[in-house]
Amino acid sequence: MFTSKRARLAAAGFGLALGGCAELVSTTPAPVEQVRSINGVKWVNPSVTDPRDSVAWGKPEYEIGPTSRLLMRLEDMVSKNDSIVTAPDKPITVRIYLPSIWAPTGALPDAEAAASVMQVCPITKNWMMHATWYRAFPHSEAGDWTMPGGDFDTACSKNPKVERDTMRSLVYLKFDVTQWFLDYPRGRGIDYGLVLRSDQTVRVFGETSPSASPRMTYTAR
Amino acid sequence: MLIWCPAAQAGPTWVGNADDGSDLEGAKRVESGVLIDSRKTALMLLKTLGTEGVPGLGTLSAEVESSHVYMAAKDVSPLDEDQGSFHSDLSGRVYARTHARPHAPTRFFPIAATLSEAQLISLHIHEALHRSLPEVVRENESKVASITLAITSPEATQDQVRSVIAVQAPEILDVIRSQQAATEPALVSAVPESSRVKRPSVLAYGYRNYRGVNAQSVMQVESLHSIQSFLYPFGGERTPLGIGLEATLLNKRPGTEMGPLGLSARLRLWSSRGYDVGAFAKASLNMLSKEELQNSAVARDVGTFGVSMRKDLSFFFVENELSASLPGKSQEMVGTIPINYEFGTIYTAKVRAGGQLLGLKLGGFVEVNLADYFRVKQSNFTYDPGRYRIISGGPEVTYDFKNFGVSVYGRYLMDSTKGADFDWLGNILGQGMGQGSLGAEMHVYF
Repeated sequence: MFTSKRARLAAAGFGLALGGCAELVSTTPAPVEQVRSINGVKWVNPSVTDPRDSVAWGKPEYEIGPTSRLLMRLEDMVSKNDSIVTAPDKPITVRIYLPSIWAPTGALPDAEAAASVMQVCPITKNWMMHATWYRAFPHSEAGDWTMPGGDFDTACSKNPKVERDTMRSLVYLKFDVTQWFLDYPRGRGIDYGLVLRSDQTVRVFGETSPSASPRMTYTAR
Repeated sequence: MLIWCPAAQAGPTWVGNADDGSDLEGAKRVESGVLIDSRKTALMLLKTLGTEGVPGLGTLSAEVESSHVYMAAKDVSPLDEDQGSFHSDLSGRVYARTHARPHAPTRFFPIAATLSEAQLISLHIHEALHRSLPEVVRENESKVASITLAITSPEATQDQVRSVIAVQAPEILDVIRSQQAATEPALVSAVPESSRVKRPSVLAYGYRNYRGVNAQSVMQVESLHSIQSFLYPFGGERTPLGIGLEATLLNKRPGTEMGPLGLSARLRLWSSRGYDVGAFAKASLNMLSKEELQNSAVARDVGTFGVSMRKDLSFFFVENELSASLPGKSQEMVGTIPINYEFGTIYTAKVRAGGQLLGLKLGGFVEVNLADYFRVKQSNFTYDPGRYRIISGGPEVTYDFKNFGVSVYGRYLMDSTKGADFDWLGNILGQGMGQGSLGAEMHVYF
């Protein structure tokens, strides 16, 4: 069967248009929730003044309390600013796993107690892995914290949700830090990270814990 | 020409083309006229040729220009020394005479009035050559005549004049060479036995204790032991050339580790003005793996080159040293987070001075370090205070006895850009660590 030249050209054009649409659709990936282990973690305590003291980093557990804090930063967060999606159903969260509350049958009252005293606050001064309780960086007096223990914004994320990681039989606190992301990484283009603080002593998993390190979750294209 | 006859006169003997001076009777000073005009033309010719730069003719122009000209009252017969064609005509009458010594006058005789201007120019130059050439040739009529012809010949050049002198009167060059050789020892000072140029090689042990190293320091090195071996097997007596090695051991908190290895090329030079000059290029190389010292801020390779100059007087010495260290980098890992350190070019100016007596030297130094930058970078963190300075100084006491020496010194941070200390320089083998150091060294010189 023969078709006219005009008909064949029209068919070819329709095919090209369909192909082009298919290309456009394929370059727009759907947003996916990502869970990443926070890599920049530094424990600060008044007794540790050596910036290189190995008790302050690379540990599976840390003790957080009135004089012990955890500085945390996902080191490449700013570079992902544009791809991160924020929406009421897509919060940016920090997960802190609690080893001492591990309970197969659930021990939520203890976890709830931890949740009531722990906060995650935006750090307002740039720091590095040589930070200590007294200094954000050790190279000059410019590195001194205004307040020992770290300078932070009082607009903290409080009252985290207590959730259970059934796969690992662990309980974790889930802090919503979406506002911090909007105010600092996206709003100002700076990421000084977050500080985990507590009014009472609580043990948390550290960054070298294989399955329960502090994590940040966000949705990104 | 005039001869001062030693047999007829007492006193100093003049050797030259002079007679008894009887022809001066009635001679009058000439201030103008053809003789003076021709002298000016002769002077222009000499300046055109640049005879002042020709060996042996350095004072010829001055002799032509400044010699007083006299005209004798009558012509005279030639003496034995007047046989040259420049002095007398075929009938034996003499044109001119002069003493063969600097600044003597020139006497012309009436017969000279028959000469053309070109001949008078030649006569002025010829007589001046008798006065200005070295003594070994100034009375040799044949050689003086050859040089006169070379200067006054048409289209004469300086090269031609030089060539004639080299061929016809080589003794002029010999005289000049011997004069230069005689003056050289006075210009080049002798190398004293106490100079480092005489004993440049050194084997030394040193110990340094760093001050102000605390918990906040970038690198907590408390002290350093070093073994130095600088040998100078090459070069001359005044310019020894050698290679230096320096191995170090660091005391850290906690433990002891191998420090950087220093390699250097060194030149010492005794200058003609009596200065002990040194030039060096050295590399401080980290020897350890990343798990050891290399995983720190100061674990960088440092390349430095510089020059020093020292003057020793009877009871005093002063030494300047200028050097520059090349930019470098180092990296430290804290967990999985890399911290990168960048060191800019460091310019160093150091002055040492003091008194010395019987091998004991008491002195001190002041050193200025000017660095382009010191940067610390971690993914989201950058510390960059820009250009900075560190000024340090301290006392030095040294006692040398024959081939042995001991020294004690201190280095203190006197002033710096806010927050800067020796850690920022990242040069353990150079300025060291912390706020300063106290050190001692034992040397064997050879």
